Amino acid sequence: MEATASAKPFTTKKEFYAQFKKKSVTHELWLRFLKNKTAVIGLVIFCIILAVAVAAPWITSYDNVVVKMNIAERLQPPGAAHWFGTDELGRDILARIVYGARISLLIGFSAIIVSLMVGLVLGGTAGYYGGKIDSLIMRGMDVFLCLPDVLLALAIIAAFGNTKVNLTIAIGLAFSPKFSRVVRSAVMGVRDNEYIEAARSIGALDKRIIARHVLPNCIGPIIVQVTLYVANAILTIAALSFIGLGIQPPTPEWGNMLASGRTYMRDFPHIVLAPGMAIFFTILALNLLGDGLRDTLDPRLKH
Amino acid sequence: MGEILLEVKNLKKYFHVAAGTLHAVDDVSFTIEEGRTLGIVGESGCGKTTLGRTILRLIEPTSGEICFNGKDLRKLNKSEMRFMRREMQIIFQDPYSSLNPRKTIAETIEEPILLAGLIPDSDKRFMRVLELMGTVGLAQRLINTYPHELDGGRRQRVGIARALAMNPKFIVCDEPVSSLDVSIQAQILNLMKTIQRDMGITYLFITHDLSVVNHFSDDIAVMYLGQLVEKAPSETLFQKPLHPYTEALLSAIPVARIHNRHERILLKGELTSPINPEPICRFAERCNQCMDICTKEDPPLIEARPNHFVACHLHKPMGS
Amino acid sequence: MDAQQNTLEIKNLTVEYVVDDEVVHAVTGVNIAIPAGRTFGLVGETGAGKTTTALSILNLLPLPAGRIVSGEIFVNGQDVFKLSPKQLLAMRGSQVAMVFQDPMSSLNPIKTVGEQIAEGMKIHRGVSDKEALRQATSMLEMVGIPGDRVSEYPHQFSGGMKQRVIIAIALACNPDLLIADEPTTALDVTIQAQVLKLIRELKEQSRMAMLIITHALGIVAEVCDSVGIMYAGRIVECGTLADIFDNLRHPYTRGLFDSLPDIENRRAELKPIPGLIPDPMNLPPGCAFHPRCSYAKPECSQDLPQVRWLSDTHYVCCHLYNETTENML
Repeated sequence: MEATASAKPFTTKKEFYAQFKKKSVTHELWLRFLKNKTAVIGLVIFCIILAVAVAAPWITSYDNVVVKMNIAERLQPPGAAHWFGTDELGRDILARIVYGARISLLIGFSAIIVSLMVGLVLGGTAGYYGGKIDSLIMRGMDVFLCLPDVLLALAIIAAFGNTKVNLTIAIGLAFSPKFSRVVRSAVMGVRDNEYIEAARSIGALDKRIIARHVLPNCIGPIIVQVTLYVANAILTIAALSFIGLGIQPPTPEWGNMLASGRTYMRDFPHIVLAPGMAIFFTILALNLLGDGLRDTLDPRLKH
Repeated sequence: MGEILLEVKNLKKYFHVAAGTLHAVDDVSFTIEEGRTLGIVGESGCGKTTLGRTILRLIEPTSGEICFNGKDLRKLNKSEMRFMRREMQIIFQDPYSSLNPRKTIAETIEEPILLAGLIPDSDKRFMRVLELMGTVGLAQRLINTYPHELDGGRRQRVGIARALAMNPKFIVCDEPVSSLDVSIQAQILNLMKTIQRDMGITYLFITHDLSVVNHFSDDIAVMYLGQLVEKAPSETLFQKPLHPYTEALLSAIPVARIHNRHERILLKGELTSPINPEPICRFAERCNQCMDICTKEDPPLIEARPNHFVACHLHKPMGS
Repeated sequence: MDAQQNTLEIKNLTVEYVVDDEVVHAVTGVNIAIPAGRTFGLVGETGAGKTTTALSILNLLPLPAGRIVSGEIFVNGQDVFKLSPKQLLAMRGSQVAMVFQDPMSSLNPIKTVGEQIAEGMKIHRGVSDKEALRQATSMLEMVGIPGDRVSEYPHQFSGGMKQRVIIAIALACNPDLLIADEPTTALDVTIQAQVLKLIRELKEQSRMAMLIITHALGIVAEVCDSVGIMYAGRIVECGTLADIFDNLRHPYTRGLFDSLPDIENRRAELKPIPGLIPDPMNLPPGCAFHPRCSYAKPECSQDLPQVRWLSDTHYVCCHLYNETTENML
């Protein structure tokens, strides 16, 4: 039996907790993440893109530079005045890329948050209860899983009109079935652990068990999927905008920039190169980040 | 002492599987007196784990009665049953999966107290957690540690503290020391015995390890393929087993001795299937004392000697 | 030693694992010698280093973490660490066979048991398919499984039978050395009895040497000729069965025996060894057992105890025996 060596006398929980602090799990995970070089590269690239997107209003003016036409300066190749050149209407491409980042990231993340909410509820319920409820929910999801993401989003926009909010919701709903699957399998992985049964044995209600015991232990795989699906969402937005059903010009979006630059591609490749590279690096960064998170959070490596 | 705390009558748990009906627990009946320990032994597939969970209604029984302190548990609704859970707790086998990896041990031990609303004041509750940690021999400085920072023995102590948090009368111990090293097993068993003495707890001790159950239990029940085949006080069971399976089981225990070794009784064949079993003695195929009647009728559980029950055609009820 | 060489000789083996810049001293200075036809039991609790020792014999340590720091291992006189990968491959399965703890994961679910038994024979002895199948059938019979089950798949067998199949696979090429790592731990006690009987019979019928790794002294009593008790990577006591069971000298060995429940005397309180198994990354100075030892003296926390021979067959590593060979417990 261990000696129950106690600390100096205490009266409250606070004092005691101050003496024996919790080990910071996040800190350890952060250190492990840092060891993965490609993941760090992904994080760095992503942070740059994020910083640029956030700082957009300070970098350049929306009205004067991004949307204002300037025919005199159209189709200029990259140079001193315009680092990425100008497009077919004389607008500075760099400024448009920067603002495009804002749109892509904002809608991309918001859409995935919508998916996550739906996925947590549906996937969590299906995974926890199993049986008939699981079959019902999952067969419902299967119907939507058959359709490509773009098509689903398209259908919703066509039905409800093309606004930013609708676009967010459309993409969010389009990705929900995938998320439900991810949440469901994560929940099923956790559900069979004895501590879940233990929670039941001490009288916890299902609601509490799911919220406090099941979901917190599923965070790992879910976070990984969030990062990867944001990448997909951004691609979907670009695809929709490219075919004219997403963000409409003159609002800059990488997809619609590719679309409008298509005709000039041969002689003025810089017009499509910039948005293309932007999409490429954003997706790359998110994928590297997601893979890095997966490696860091893999429970097998923990012990 | 002497008061019957738990009475199980004709308890059955059947599972429906593709191949038919799996008789996990088949018509099991026994009683446990307050403050005593009943050991349930058997090998894989005998149903002892299912039995433990069914008694607590963590798995819903198919039929039968579970009388705890006079109340039939099957008649209680969900919230009444949750209330009852304060008196009936469980200690799990695997110290690695029975604790939530994201909760500190203080949070794990505190949760039952919180849920039952027994101590509303946060500081007082905290004191109770410390008290429980002391009871199970965990140093106070471990209060904010996570399960993965502790070894198996300490984790199991956390599980015990959690089970004790609501001051239960009855604890089902599902192979509580099987996953631990031998030297740690002894520590935990001694701890559990001390707790029983000090708090008057009744244990249902489930295990496959016969030497441990002998040491720890007052009475022992042997299970085979879902049925109770023998029940007797520990000393009697070990010295004068009546059922051929019990005899084989006892003789199979590896003995850490090189002199006075006995000849092993080896069983023929393998376990028969618990799915759609025939109404004959389920041990007949492997029994070296099998008679003709054994392949025709399922033997009932009878009291062959005072307080010594057995389900075997070789024995007759007392006084007949 | 004697005129015949030992089937297995491990000399001063030291193995480390390097994990995240931390070093785990898994095995330190271990010596084991097993002559042909004899069985050696390596006993210890979790983390004692038994499995690491076994894996080292066939150079099967997990890379890149596992590292053999020093020592030599000779199988049938050949230095295992000097063999080329090809020679090592030839040795595994034909001269040395290994049986692992978990029968569930040791068998390939998509091959019949016959194929798995025959595989080794075809690789090492160049036997034809037909002949291999015939021999596989007789191997099954030898381990007590009806020969006609040779074309069945692993999932059709119970746990105990799977373990027998694994033993059949191990024996298919008539190895000189069989290493069994906790061969019966995952089995029910009545099945364990059957498998132990099988192992005993095999012992009597062949000249095969065996290294049995276990934490259960009961199993050792049943099948072994000599015993080595391992603690924190070192062998703290080693001798014949009689030396260890009737004449033990090391406090840890005493503790192991004492913590077992005695079937004869159920009322006695169990005497556990106080404290915990040491962290292999952070072993106590001097004798690793001293924090838990009721016989500890000042020198135990400073100096490593050396090997003291108490008889021709029995040695112990404990400061209690620096001056004497009398029983100090």
